[in-house]
Amino acid sequence: MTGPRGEARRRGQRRGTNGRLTRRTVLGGAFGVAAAVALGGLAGPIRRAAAAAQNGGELFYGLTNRFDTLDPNVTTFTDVGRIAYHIFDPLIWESKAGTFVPGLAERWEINAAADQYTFHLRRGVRFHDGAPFDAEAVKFTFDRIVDPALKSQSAFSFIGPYAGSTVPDPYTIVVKFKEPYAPFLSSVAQSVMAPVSPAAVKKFGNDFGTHPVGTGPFKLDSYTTDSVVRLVRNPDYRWAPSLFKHQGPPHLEALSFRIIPEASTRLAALRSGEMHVIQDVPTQEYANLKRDAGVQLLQGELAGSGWTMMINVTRTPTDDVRVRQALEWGVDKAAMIKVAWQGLGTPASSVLTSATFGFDPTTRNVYRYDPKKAGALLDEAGWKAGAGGVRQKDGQDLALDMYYRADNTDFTAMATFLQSVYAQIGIKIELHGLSQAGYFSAVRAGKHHLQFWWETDPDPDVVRILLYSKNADGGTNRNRYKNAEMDTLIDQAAATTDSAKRRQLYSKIQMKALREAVMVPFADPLNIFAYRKGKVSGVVLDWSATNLLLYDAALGG
Amino acid sequence: MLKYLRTRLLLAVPTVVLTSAIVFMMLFLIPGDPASIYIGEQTATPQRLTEIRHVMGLDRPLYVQYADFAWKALHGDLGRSLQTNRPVTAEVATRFPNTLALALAAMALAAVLGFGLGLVSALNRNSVFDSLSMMVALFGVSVPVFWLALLLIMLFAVRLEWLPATSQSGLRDLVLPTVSLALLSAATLARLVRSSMLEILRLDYLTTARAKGLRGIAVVFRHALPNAVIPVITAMGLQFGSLLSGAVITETVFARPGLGKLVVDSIQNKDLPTVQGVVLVLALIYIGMNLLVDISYAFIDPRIRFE
Repeated sequence: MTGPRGEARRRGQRRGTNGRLTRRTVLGGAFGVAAAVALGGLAGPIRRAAAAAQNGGELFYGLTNRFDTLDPNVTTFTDVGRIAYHIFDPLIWESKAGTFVPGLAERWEINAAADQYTFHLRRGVRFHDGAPFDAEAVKFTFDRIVDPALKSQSAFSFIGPYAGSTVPDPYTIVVKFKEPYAPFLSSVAQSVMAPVSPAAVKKFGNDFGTHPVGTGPFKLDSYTTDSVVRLVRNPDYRWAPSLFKHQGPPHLEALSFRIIPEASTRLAALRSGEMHVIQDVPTQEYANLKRDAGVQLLQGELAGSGWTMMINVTRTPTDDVRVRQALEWGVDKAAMIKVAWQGLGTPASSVLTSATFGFDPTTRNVYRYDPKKAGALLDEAGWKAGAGGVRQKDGQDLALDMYYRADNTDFTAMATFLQSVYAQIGIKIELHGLSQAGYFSAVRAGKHHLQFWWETDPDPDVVRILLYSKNADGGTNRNRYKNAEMDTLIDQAAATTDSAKRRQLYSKIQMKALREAVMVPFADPLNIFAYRKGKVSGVVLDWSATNLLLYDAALGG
Repeated sequence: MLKYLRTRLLLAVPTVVLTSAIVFMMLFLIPGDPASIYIGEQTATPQRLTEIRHVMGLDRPLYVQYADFAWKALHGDLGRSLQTNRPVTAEVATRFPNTLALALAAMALAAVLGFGLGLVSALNRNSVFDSLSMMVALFGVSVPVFWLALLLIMLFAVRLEWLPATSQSGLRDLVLPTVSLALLSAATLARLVRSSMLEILRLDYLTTARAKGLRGIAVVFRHALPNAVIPVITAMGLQFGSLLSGAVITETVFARPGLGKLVVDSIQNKDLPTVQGVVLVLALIYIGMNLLVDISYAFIDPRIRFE
């Protein structure tokens, strides 16, 4: 029902704007240099707050965005995942980049071709509605995701070239793919792929999104749209993954997610005690909060691809690799982080963030800020210094069209910064800040030279979204970069389950992208959460720094 | 009077139909395809987009889509949101009470403040009270709602811990949003009440009343105010409409789920059924408010009769 996986797959979460944004917009691009180290207690892939179990109570969590639906298989919102990990259990959990532990599946096998996965499921698990969890429920969920009538967004991307499932016995499911698909393990660890209760889906039909039924440690108590999702403890929960400190039902009696779009209000609600935990701490308040004795910050670097700029390689003059390389040498990333993100940030060196599996640290040696070098490359390409400081060739100005969404404060800050920094090497940046709809139609048609991107993703296969040729024509590869060798590398990496070999392949991909200057990486994103010190314990931030897991959490120090 | 009411109510029907048709057309004229906005930055093949358009019913001719919408609307079914897949009636119904409560409370506070300040100013023209009241009014007109709301939160929620920073339902939750939303209306009303009163107070019949020995209070409240109030009522009717639909900023800052935020989000997402639903409700309210305002004239001013 879909084309080849290259076109269909996309694993990240939507970058956003006003109402339907993901955390990025409001966060205002929160970054951390060595902050993760500075915060203490963050050693190891899972960062924990001090644990002390105290039963009962209701924890209030300040969420950012209004979202579409609580149906994990349909949504595209990161915030829904943050709730869904408490209502649903994934088949397996990713404990750190590339390492998996059992969830609803006790063990699993992958065939040599990486196009067939067998999961052996845990027995004795029940959905909140009392229905037993079995392989039929998993098959039902996967088949549901690829049904066009569901209009699945993220899960449809995560399921990749899914061909179908068979159920040899009630606790075994065999998942088949049309092509090798090594990223499936990290896909299936996502909440968007979590099994839903088939009985509940049949019962609620179109309204399952407001009546989600899973197997997780909490079950839905009430959902007031745009306002609050209240969950209560699932007293029958006996199947917590080894990632957590305890077994059995959660300590908390109830867990309320309150949607607070405005960052200042969210922070005020934490300070006033209305919220125990908040996400997307505004970077402007970062320094103050660090000094605040009543508040504990929790943060980590996101996996995937960070703040980057895509360069259209098919339009003159960015079809010239020297011009693109000049864009790499010509940007002062440290200054950009200061200007656009209040100094909170790590300069990026690769299309993969340093937290992602397969990140190659030697990418740090490829480019640095060197305007002279950038100028020399432009000279070499025939762009000579002209009137008004703008370089010219054959009477033409060196002017590049930059398209971005004006409703996104990060993109606006990045665009204006780049305009001034590239002016210093004689490149004129024409800014086109547009609305969501206008932006999509312009960049999908390839009217741009430059446009921004960021992408959270648990798997390095994120490069497929950015660099794969089948995503080039109006798809997500807005570089419009088509390279047979790159395609082969991406396909090989996705078909390799041996992690050392996979790492090598991703290293080649990163270096190739950098040498050909397909994209300019600016900074690695960071997620900042905060909670009230002494009022909450057992808060766990997952390895990808995306989700706070509150199964171990308790009120009180 | 009844005949007048009947005509007005009948006239409301074409108004609503026309409004919904215009909104429908306008959303189609705005660039961008709802299905492709729904998919956002997810990779999607043209085939996948076609499938989603089909599921959303967007591949039908425009007039079929509108006729389908209108037919269902007549039967009380406003369809399902393209974004959330929830029934639009439910989307509107869950938010409407919040928005209505906030608008009513803000209107009431604005009326009290507006009339209070306006009367004090008018009766003590060019005094310290007058200057002070008008300064407060000037502040109210010029202060950004967003800033005021955050200031109120900092003071009353974080520092004093008297009131919650966020607002859902209930009276305590209503206080801060009401104050921040009411100030602009209050300031506008105060200035209007003042100028309207000053005009009336100059008239001969009031001089006569005073000359006959009527007490000041009786002159003001029985003879001057009812005559000064007509333009103010008109303004209040219009303001109530904008309080209902224009509370987006207040709703966002206080995280209060309401119609204002819903309509802005839906327009951005080109969520046609939801926009239609909200616009329909707002149009009905505007029409209702205008009617109420017109009728109130008759009660306040016996010279106005609808025969």
